[in-house]
Amino acid sequence: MGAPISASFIATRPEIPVRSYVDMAGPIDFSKVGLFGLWLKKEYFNVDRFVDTLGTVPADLVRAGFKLIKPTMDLSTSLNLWWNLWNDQYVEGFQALNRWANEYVAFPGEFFRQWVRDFYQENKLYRGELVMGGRPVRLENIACPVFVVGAKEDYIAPPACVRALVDVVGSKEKEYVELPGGHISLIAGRGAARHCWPKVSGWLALH
Amino acid sequence: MADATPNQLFELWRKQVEESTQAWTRLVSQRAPTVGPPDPTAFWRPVLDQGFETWAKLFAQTPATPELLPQWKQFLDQWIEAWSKVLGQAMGTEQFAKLLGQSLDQFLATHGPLRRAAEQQTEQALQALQLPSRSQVTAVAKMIVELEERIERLEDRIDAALRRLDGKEPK
Repeated sequence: MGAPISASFIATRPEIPVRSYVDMAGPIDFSKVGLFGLWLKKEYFNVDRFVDTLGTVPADLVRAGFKLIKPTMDLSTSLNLWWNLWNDQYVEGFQALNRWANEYVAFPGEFFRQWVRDFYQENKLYRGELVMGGRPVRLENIACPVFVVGAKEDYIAPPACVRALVDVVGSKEKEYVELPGGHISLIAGRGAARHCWPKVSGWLALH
Repeated sequence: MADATPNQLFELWRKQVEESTQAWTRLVSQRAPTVGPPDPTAFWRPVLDQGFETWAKLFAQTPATPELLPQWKQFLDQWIEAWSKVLGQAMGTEQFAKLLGQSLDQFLATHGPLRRAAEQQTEQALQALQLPSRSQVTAVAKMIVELEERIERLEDRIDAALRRLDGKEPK
C-alpha cells in the first residue's frame, strides 16, 4: 500500500520537489488486483459492518487474509526449508525473510475502512476520484520520471494493476519492467539482488 | 510397511492424494449447492495424472536409490503446485467470495455482542478508577486533528494574503 499512498501524495503536492518516483509492485488500478479485489467487492464484504464491529482489524485477521490468498505457501516454504536445512546460506536467508514476511500488524479501523472502500471497492485512485488531505488526487499531475516494476508471480498486486501507473502519469520519462518474483521476493532475497536491484539502481543513476 | 516396494508406497500415496482432493471437492460442492460450484476435478486431474504417471515410471524403472529423495521432493513440489492451482481456481470464483463474505458475517455476528460487552465492562472499570477510556482518548485525538486542520487552513490563508500584499508592494 506504500505505492498508492505515496503516488497520491506526490500527485497532490506538486510543490514538493520529487526528483523521481519508483513504484515496486504497488497496485494502482484496483480493478485488476486479483483475489483480494474479488473478495472485497461491496456485495460480499461489508466494510462498515466489519470496522464498526471490530474497531481495529486484528493482526491475526490480516494474517488469515494473506494466508488464504495462497494457502499452499506455508507448506511449500516448510518443505523447501527442510530440503535445504544443511545449506547455511539458505537458512540464513530464510530466517531473515520469513520472520519479516510473517510479522503482520493490526490495521487502524478507519484506515482500513477508507483503504478498502476507496481503493478496492471504488477504485477511486485510478478513476481520479480520490481526495487526500482535502485535495483531489490526479495521477496525471505526477510529472517526475517514473519507474514501475511489476512482479510476474505477484498474486497480491498482479502486474496489470501495477503497470497501470505508467498509463496515467503525466511524466514524459516513464518506464515499466516486469521481473521474476512475487510481491515480497521481488524486493527481498537473493533473486531480488540479481534481478531487481541492479535495474532499479541503474535507472535511479540515470534519473 | 518396511518390506513394501516403492510401487506399493507410491500407490498408497496416490490413493491418499486422490481421496483428499475428492474430499475437498465434495466439501466445496456441499457448501455451495446452488450457483454452479467450481469443479476443480477437471482442472487438477490432468496435472496430477501427469505427475503420477511420471512418478510411476520413475519407480518402475528405478530401484530404491539415493536419487529417490530428489524424485520424492520433485513429486511433492508438483503436488503442492497442483493443489495451489486448484485452490486458486476455486477461490477466484464469485461463489467463493460470497461464501467468504457469509462466513465473515457469521463471525461478526458472534463477535460483535461479545466485544460490546467487554467494552462496556472496561469502560465501567476505567470510570470507577477515574481513568480515561479509549473512546474518550479518541475523542480528544479527533479534536486535536480538527484543530491542526483549522490551523493549516489559517496558515494557507495567511500565506495567500501575504503573497497578495508582496505582489502589491512594488506598485
